[in-house]
Amino acid sequence: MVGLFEFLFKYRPALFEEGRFTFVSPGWMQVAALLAGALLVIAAFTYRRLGAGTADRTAGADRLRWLPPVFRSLAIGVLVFCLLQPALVLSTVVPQETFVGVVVDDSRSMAMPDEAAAADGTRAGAVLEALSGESGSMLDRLAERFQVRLLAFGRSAERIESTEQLRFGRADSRIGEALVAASDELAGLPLSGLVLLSDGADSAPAELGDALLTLKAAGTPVYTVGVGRPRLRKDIEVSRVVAPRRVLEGSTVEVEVTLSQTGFGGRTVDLEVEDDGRIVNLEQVTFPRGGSAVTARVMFAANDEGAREFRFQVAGQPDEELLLNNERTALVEVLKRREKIFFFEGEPRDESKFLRRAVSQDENLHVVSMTRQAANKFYGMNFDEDTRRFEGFPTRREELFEYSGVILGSMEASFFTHDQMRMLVDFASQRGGGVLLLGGRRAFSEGGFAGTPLAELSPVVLYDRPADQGRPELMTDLRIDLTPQGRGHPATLLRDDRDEANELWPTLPPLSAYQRATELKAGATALLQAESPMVRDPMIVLAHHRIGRGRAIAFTPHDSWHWQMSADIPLEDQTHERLWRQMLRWLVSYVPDRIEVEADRDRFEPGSTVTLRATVRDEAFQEVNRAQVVAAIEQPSGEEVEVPLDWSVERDGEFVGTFTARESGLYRVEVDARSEGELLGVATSRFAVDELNEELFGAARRDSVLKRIASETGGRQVGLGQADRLVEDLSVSSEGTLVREARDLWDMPILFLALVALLGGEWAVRRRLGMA
Amino acid sequence: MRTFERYLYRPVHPDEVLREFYFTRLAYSGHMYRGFAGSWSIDYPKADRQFMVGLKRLLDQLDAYDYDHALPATDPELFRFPFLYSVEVGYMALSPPEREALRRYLLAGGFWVIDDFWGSWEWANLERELSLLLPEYPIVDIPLDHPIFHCFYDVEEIIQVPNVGQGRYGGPTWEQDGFTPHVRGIFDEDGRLMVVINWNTDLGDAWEWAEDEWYPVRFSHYAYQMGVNFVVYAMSH
Repeated sequence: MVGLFEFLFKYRPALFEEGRFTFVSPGWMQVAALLAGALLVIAAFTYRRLGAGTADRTAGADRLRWLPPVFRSLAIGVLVFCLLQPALVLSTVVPQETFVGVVVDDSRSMAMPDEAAAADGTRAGAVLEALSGESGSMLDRLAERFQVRLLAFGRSAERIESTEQLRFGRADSRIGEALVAASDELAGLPLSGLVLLSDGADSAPAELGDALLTLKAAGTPVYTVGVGRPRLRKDIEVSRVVAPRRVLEGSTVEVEVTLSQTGFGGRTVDLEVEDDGRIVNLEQVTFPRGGSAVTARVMFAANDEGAREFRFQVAGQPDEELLLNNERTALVEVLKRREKIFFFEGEPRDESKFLRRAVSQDENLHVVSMTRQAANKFYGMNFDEDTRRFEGFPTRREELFEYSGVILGSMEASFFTHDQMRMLVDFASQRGGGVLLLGGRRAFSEGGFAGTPLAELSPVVLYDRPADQGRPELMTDLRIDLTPQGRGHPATLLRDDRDEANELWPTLPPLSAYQRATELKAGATALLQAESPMVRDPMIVLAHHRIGRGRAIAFTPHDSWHWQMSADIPLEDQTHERLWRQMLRWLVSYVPDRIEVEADRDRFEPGSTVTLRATVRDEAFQEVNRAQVVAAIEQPSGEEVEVPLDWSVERDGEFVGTFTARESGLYRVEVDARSEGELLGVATSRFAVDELNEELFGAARRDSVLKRIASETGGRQVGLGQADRLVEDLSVSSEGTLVREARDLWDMPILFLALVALLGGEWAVRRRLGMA
Repeated sequence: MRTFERYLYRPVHPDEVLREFYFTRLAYSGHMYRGFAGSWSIDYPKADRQFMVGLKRLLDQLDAYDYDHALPATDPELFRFPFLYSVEVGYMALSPPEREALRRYLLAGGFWVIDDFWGSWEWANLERELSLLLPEYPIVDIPLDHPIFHCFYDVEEIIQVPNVGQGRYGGPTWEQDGFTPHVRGIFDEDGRLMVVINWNTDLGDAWEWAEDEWYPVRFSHYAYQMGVNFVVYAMSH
């Protein structure tokens, strides 16, 4: 398109954008106008006279009669336009008075063999040939008009004297930082712009926008020259791994792994999960034929305590172009600690007994229970020296909020005060805890939850059930099965093998429920449902939804204990135990602590600035701003560094500090938060520092990045072999030492073509009318 | 077991509303008969019904079945009722299928309260039966600080509860050579109490005759406290 424009208008659109249009001979304007007017009058008179004598007097001929004078007039207009000598005035640089910085990507990704134009086929080879090859090199062409400064960049830009100093082996390529560094390096010189030669693979953690704003403010246009193919021919890449930062020991870890590919549509590959060299899962992933990316949900057990580096990798395929992007690592901290769960039960029943029993051997779960035996007589169990004692349901936030999860059994809403119900909702929404609502004759609608704050917690729609309706009807013979969302969910995975787990559910003994739960709330997800001869629609058995920062789960049957105690279930069967262990671990997963600290990512490149962010809350989970927060960072060498964290001001209770991680290895952060000398709490976190090779992911040429850099800084994107165009663009830049130059436009081919077309058109019409 | 005994069993009628708790009596095989039925049916059904009346009053949140409920060990339905009560086990002689079913029942999570048997001879019979049923688990005395003595009522001492005749007329509280009452139990490897053995005592008679003006209230009072604690413990541990 640009080429066509250049053919018709003599110059590229860019020059028209930069330049200013003018007439070199404006003094001729009046003469030209008089001449044009006279010619037009003569033409009109002539056509009027000739028209009267034409043979063809049809209606069609009448309609065409006005065309010849118009064509003639326009042709005269074009001629007059040319006589006025139109020109484009451009500000061009004075030769050798201004500077250009040529910034070359010196990173490892430039060694990719996807540049057919280069002798060795690599991006690096193509860059070297373009810069200093024999046939009209870019550096030579630039040097004809500019003082050229050559820079190489990886993490930052450095001056180099010649292309021989380029190694193309740097582990990082941070384009934004490099361009700002190059601009700083050449600051004070009359700079026409920067030329960036890169594949656009930006591995910088920070958003590019800040760097571009700096360059824009400095008035430095960046001209980008893309290297490499915009799409690899054959490649598989582990594009993204989304893993939890922390899990309880023995939990099933659920990780989302996104695999991208080009050229392998329809192929099935093995995705391996390794923990310290040991394969903990092997998942077969089939790439769709049409699309490019596929997301696999991988699950595996985290059985070993401590910071674990799980590696997700796809074996290299025989004809794959790039193998280094076939794996990624995620750092997951496997915690050995007891999550406290408060189980509040409204009546003695086997469901609660067997539930507690199912998780009693789980060292990571501590279920404290309070069961109402008689009116206002409760039986509390499992309170220990670290747990506040209370009778019935807590009345103070500190008592309830020390738990990570709450299980609410068969207890009617009227038992609670309004404040207690509000507190339970706040437990989920503000504290971020998990609330599990169990089915029972006094739960959900049957317990009068509708119209109370407890209704907010329910993921299923409740109905108003009058209290005088008596005992609710029990729906029996519920055959339970997974919903599509429940397949492969960590809470419903009752066997290690996913297919086996999916097939197990319908074979379990049928259950019963008092809850006629058939409708989900907006935003809720059902994982289990059941069919029963007693209800028309499928019954919701297990569903969940988010409540503010927390989560609420509904499990509607009241007798899952039959899966433990049934004549049909073998003694050694662990289905019931596993169900409740997984359910309660899911309930308390991702529940925040009072004091928390996180690095902004789990992995960094050596030398990166690590931002530590701590959140400090009091016992009632109210954010604390007036606290003294210090992070003690244990480096891989064992040396400890203390970093004070300051209140961020942006958010209540958030404290921030930075630290430069130079050593490779695993770091441990321990944050100590105090208020007026009193210890509020301690939190720990970990992060790893290693060569990440981020630029090898998405290794094809990233035109979007290059285009954005060029457009936001006022530069342009050009091709590798377009040195002339680059020189021209830089020459008309508004930066540097400039001189004005007028370029003729009267000889634009479009004017000649217009003249020929107009006169030709006039002749053709006259012929049609019999006037020729 | 005699075939006509089945007419004494009382499974839950299909039209009955299902409840959370059933006081289920084990109809076991044995070598002593009282009339048409075996020793398992001593005091049945009055003791069971009478106990339920008191239990529902004391544990008013318990959704309990009002009636007696007896099942043989070999009935697969037994697994739906995790609380089991037995008397006169000195005459109990479990068949292999009964033994296998009862063993599975207890290891799966069932709770068995044994009551009303006396003296060393009857103990020896029970001990032999239990050694065949749960050979790997020893019978031990349950200490008084165990939750089963405190989960609802605080029971500070073990009292010998006599049968109705001796209770009413003030005779000795013991029978045969069972002079000292014991509460013993069998725990699983996780410390869960599976079997509670009330030896040299007759809680069942105390429940059955609690309304009898001649029966001493201290015995029925104690028997109800123990019975309520057994149920609370069974429903919570």
